[in-house]
Amino acid sequence: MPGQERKRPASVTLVAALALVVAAYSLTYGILTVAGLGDEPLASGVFRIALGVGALAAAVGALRMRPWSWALFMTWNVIGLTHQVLRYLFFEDPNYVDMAINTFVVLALSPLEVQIAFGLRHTENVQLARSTRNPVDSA
Amino acid sequence: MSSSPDRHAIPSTAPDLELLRAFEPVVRFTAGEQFFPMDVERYVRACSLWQYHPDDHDEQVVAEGELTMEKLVEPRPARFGSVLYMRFVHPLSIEESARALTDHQRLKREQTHRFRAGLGRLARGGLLPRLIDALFSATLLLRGRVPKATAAAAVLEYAGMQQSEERYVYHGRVVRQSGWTVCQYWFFYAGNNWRSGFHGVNDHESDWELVNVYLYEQGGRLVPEWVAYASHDFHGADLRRRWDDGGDLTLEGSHPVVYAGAGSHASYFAAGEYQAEVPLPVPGRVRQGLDVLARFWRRTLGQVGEGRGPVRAPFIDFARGDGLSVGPGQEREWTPDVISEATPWVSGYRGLWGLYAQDPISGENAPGGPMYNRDGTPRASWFDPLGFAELDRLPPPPVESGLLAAEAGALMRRQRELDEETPKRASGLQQIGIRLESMEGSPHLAAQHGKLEAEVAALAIEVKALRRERTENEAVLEGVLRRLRRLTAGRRDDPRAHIRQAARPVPAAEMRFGRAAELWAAFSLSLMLVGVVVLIEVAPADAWAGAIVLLIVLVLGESILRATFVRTVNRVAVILALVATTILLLHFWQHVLVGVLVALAAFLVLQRVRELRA
Repeated sequence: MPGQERKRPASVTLVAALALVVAAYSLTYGILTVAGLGDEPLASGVFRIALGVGALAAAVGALRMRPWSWALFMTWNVIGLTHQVLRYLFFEDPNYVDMAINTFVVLALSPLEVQIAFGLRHTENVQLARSTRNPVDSA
Repeated sequence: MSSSPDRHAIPSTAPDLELLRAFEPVVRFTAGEQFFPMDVERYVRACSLWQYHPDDHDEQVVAEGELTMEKLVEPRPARFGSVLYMRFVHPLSIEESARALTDHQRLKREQTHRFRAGLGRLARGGLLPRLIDALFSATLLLRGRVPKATAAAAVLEYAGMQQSEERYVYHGRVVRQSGWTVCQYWFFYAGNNWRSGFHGVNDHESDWELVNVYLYEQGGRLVPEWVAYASHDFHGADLRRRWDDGGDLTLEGSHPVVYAGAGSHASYFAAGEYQAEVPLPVPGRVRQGLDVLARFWRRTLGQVGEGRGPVRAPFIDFARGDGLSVGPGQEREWTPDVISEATPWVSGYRGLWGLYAQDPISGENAPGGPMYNRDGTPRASWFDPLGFAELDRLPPPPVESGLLAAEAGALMRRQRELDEETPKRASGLQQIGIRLESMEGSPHLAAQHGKLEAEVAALAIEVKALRRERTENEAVLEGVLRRLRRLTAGRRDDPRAHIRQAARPVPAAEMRFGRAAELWAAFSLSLMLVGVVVLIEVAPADAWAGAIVLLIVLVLGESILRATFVRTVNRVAVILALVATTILLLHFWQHVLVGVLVALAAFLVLQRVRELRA
């Protein structure tokens, strides 16, 4: 919606905040590793920095309601969830915290109204009719 | 091209043939079509007649070259489970089959209008539709089917007939029912080669298609009002269009234009390429389960539902209208043949009009005649042409105003009766109610009290029903009067108001696939299977995990080519999130239960505190 300010749902703010935490952690850890202050190899440090930069970009994009950041989050979580689900099913070694965070992010960003807010779907496609139960309608 | 129906009216005294000729359709075929509507007699003369017996053997009843229209309708008693059928193409030897296929290829090359499928058949569906396509092809190995060489031989045989005498024939019938006059145009084809000729669903010897034109009488003239085409996947009211519906119906003068599917000969109102739906025969319980899942997907997860069924095969019915056109003022004209129940072959032959391929789902078995289904039972479109297009519930327009006025009068009379009856019953109810109230506190009247209570309850239901009827009648009457006023003022309904689901060609935008997408669509399924084989060979312990990753990568990769990445990544993510949620609930069910109970307790405390503070 060019020229029109889109309202950011609270769930998006929460997801962006989570991504900022991940970015801060990954960047700090990565920089320390690259600087030789940890036990991890250099490649791991570089990977952490790349992950941190990606998370930071996704968070900033989400705060500014950019459609590409939604796609980035979804792709990231598809990879994360596939990884965790396969670890659970075949290797009995899942990281439940990661799994829970990934699940939360997907369920927070998936509702139609969130996709509309990101400009990924158009309002005219929304089905607003939902069944209600009202005592006046009974009998 | 829209047109006033009155302009096309003809005198109601016109004989049947004149009536049929006045509204005979123009049929536009797709380039590459190899069968055109023909007369049944030439076909029958070229056939042999066979009987399939329930002990699984076929017996030739009349040999090829000896079958006549008289012999066709001779009574032939047979056991239950036997099937009488014609064979247009006699059983072929290997050499004959090879020759038929070669000659057919040569004939195709010589055709003026040649068929090109173009890009996109496989790429129009995702992985699932392509999997269905592959499974469907595999089932043909197990099912009875018409061999490709037989279809090719039928094409050659028909081409030979046309070469000796080129004729385009429809079998027309005029039937009068409930104030309507229906012109039925039955088109008979020597074969349906949709599968072998145009990548479609089935092949069968012979084919029958139908177009109905519905007329009403006004001032001694017959006026066309509706036209209905037989089509795949559609029924009832969806088959018909109003004569003045310029948006959907094309008219050439007083002749409706039909776009015939290549090989399938299904009739469409607009030129284009139509994707076939394949409804799976799932049991009711499974269907209910799928509905619950669909509701959960839409309402609980807030996802967009699929407008079309999830199970779509990439079968295309090509009704491009870029080939031969047959009809008044076209490249070729019709030769009409008037039929009725009195026509011997129509009512006297209950068998199949071509090879009985013993296909259990009937897709490859030849059809029955215009009057009968494959099993010999009467065909609804013959004995109930109004019901065929759900016109049985509509009176012809000149009668409608009178019927509406009569209906309004009846409703008004009933309202007056209710106005008199309801107060009387209501008053009676009050009287008994008072008596009942007066009995309170008198234990010795318990028996009478109980009896009266039942009486009051019954009377209350009666009064409620009367009041409900009055209110409902009021609403119906309002609608009837509104419609009557509209008709009196000469305003008509929206010509498309009756359509629930219309056949629409696949939009051009969905067909713009690059060569890469097309290649991907052709090979991805095989690629996936090869990938699974490699995984089993190289890393058997991780084969399942690898196969899942491979599937997700293929699905997402394809979505990029099909420009549906956002929708697909969302679906994959939600499905994975649901799996993860289940895992988390299974693993941490005690923590989840404790959390839910604590939250519930906190909520209740909060509610009570609010009440106390209010």
